[in-house]
Amino acid sequence: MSVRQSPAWKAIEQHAATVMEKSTLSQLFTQQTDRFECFSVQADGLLLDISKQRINAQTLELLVSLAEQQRLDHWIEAQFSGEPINSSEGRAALHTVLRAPLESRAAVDGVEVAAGVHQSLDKMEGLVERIHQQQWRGYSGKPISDVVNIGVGGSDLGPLMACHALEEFRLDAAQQLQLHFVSSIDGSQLSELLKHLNQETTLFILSSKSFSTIDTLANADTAKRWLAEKITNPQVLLQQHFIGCSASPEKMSQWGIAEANQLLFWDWVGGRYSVWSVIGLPIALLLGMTGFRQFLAGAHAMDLHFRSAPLASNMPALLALLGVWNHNFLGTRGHAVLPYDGRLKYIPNYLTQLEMESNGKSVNRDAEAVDYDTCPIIWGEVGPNAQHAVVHVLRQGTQPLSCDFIAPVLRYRGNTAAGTRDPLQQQQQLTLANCLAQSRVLMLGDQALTAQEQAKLTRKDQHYPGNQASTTLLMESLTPFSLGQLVALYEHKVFVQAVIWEINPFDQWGVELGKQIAHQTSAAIQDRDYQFGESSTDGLLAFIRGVADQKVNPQAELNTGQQEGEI
Amino acid sequence: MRVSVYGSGLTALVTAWALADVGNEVLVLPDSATSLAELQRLALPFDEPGLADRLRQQLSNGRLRWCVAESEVFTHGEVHCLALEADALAVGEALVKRLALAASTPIVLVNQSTFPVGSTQHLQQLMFQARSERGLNPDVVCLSLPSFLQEGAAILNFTRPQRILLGTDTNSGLQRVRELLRPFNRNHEQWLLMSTREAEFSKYAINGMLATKLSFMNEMANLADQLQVDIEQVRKGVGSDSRIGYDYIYPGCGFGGLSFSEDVMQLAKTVESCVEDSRLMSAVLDTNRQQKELLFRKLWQYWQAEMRGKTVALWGAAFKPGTDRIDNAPSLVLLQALWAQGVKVRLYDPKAMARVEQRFGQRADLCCCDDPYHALQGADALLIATEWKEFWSPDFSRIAQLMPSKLIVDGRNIYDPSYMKSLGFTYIGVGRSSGFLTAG
Repeated sequence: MSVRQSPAWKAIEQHAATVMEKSTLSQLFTQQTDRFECFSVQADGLLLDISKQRINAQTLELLVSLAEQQRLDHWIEAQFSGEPINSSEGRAALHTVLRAPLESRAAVDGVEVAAGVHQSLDKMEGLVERIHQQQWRGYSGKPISDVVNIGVGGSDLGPLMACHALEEFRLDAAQQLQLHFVSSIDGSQLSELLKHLNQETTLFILSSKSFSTIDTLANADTAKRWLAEKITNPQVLLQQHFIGCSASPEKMSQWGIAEANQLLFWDWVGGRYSVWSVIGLPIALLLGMTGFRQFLAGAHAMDLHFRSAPLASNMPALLALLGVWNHNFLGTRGHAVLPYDGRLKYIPNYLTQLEMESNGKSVNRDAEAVDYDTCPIIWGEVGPNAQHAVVHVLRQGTQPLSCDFIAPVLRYRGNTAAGTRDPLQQQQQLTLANCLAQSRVLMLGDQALTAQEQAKLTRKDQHYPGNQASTTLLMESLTPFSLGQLVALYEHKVFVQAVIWEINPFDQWGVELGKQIAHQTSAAIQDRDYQFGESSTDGLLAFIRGVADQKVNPQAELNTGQQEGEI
Repeated sequence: MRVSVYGSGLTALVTAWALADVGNEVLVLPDSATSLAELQRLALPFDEPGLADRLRQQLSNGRLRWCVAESEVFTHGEVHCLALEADALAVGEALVKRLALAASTPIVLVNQSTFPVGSTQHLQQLMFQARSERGLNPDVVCLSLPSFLQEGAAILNFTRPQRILLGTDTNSGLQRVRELLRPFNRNHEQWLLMSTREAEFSKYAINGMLATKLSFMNEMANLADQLQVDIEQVRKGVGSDSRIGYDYIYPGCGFGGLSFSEDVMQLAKTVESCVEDSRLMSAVLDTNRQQKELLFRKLWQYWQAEMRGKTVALWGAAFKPGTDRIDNAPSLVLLQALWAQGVKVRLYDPKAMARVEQRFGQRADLCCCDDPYHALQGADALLIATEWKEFWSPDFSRIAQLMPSKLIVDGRNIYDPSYMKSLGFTYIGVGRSSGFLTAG
């Protein structure tokens, strides 16, 4: 039986149709003055305000019943204890162990894993310290000054997002260390970067869970060729200029990563959940291991909250259930993530991947097609910038949408350029004001204005109805710890939704299919006679071959304006 | 004249001795880091040839005395000489405020410490203020007498100065200081008078210039390595131009020393914070930082990054011959770089080994040897970081016997590449690619 036919789901459907669809947010706030007290949760320095959601007390009760009916508590324990909840691949999903203390217990196939996790972290610490002490040396003996992280998806976005967010926590010993991120298969980032870097002082991190991701290996090969321009000894090239982070030591060795430079994680860590593993190496290079461990500790604090807090005050569960409520019962068409802090610029991208790659599924755990919607489209942008762009569709568009506002309260307490602390603190105040103002306008529309101000809006097109639901998450300040909490919060949200939707959030067969087909197509571009027997791709291929032919013709090159120079 | 000297560094003690030697009554208040008992035993915190004996002489005739009672030293001097370490400005500030209240006027303070430009004026202001607040006669004058003493030659530098550069902002006090220094101004008129700020800045600029010459020459040496020329020949060519001269153009593995290096760093900081777009001094320092690692890098390249488990003999730890000081010495950088790669080091230095042991403590990968040849036992290479006289003409056949690899990396260019080649050594110098020869 589909969850859609289940009693708890039916009860919510009925509640939505009879009660909530008819009530607007402004009515709800008029009816109940203590909504904030009833519909907000505080824990470990975070405040989650869900009172601007289109819910009442009964809605919450029904949603909690749905979670109970879906045996959420059972699934949480199964996840934390290492059961193979990634059913299609027969694997555990134990990213929570990556951030747990050494004495924590979780076993995969009967083998305790915490010790291995900490061994891996210790090995990473050794490498990080050598780089920070300027004793990791390139082929000519100079210390490394630039580290390039080559990875894609989870092996890129997590470290990139966190390094961007936590730049102000940069360790003193890392002041001179430049971190770069390269992901795209087309080499766009790499080609520009390599023009400016020096082979003597550049170290590459190859991050790939499988170590067979073509995007990463293509970039890695280019990097290797670039190094070989200066380095004649291939062993020195590999040993001093490449670190590998992967779950496949064999593949790393095959590629040539020295054993001492191999950092391991495991197949029970999903790529998009791997920022807590050695994939977080760039974060550790920025913050030092102490800072990185604070990041892990924040996530662990969220794990403890998730496991112990009752569902009605459980932040990840609430975020998830409200997502289900909006998307499956109120018919919202998408979900925006709006951080009101430029440091969280990559959080929307990160969550886009986390949520959509995990829960963008159309079959349930038994591989049967589901008859309800799963993951909505997620998008977002730094809030104040989004106000000039995507937020228009929230305010004035035709579709019901939901959004999350995320903001730290305190900022610019120290470490600001001379003379800028006061004005920057004022800017922070302004940013918070905008954050609160937007959620208020989305909720109330014109009614956010005074009666007098409303009276001035005489034209019809100036009318704005509001009633767009939102959640606001405030944190005291952005630190490695609170960023850890934030990311873990959304990880667990994704998991809870997967439990409700009865899907497996931990596999990604779609990516695999794409990889296979791309491989085949790459051969087809070179093989002039290859036909797919499908006119669109064949037509595109013909065009590509035609343009490429013109370009290899030297006459064509000359015609583009390149002239022989005279000396 | 009665003179009070504050400090126990090289400048303070040489000043105290030289002034006592010409008949003054000198009281010395050591800085708080130095133990009086050690001073009394003449166990000095640095090694300056001949200084201890000379101090003993003046102590025994009673013209020189150590003193710990501020009240005594403050009221003793007709001239007060402040010669603290460069990083002790805060100590100096507190000291002169107490001095201002205790001494009888007129107070004449000569600042010999290398403090930031403007400090002498600042100290005078502090003393003036301290007295004014108590309603005392604010008759205080501070002069600046930058120290140009070179470690190893400090006594001669003080008693036979090339010039006496004195900074003063008023005429008061000048006569008294000129009188004090008169005995050292006998050959010809060496007075160079300017404002205190100008005097302080001159000191910085001189050191900056010298450092620039050194770093420039080191950069030339690194180019010479790549262009297959011997920098030693080039150095002679360059030095023969009288506009440049032969001093401070010896290429090598970097300069160190407490006062010199730190003065240049201080200058670079001052220039960076006060002047936009000035990059020369930081480039000079950066070149020097790189240069200190040079011997390590040459070895790293020679061994193709395979260094783990190797043993290296290191001759010389002091930042220059004749001293036991290791402040900012290239040897410190070398030791850490070698250790980080899992290399064991057998060190020999005639004077500075105790300081190295004091700094790094006991460690399995450091063996201090009491003989240069002992250091070579089991070594895969010999590095030379300080040009002590005893290293110039060693028993090469004994070296070859003790160290079958016959690999020498010479950071001070003290050997002749062609002779080393004839002996079958692999000899790597600084900027001597023509001598970059592989054995057999």
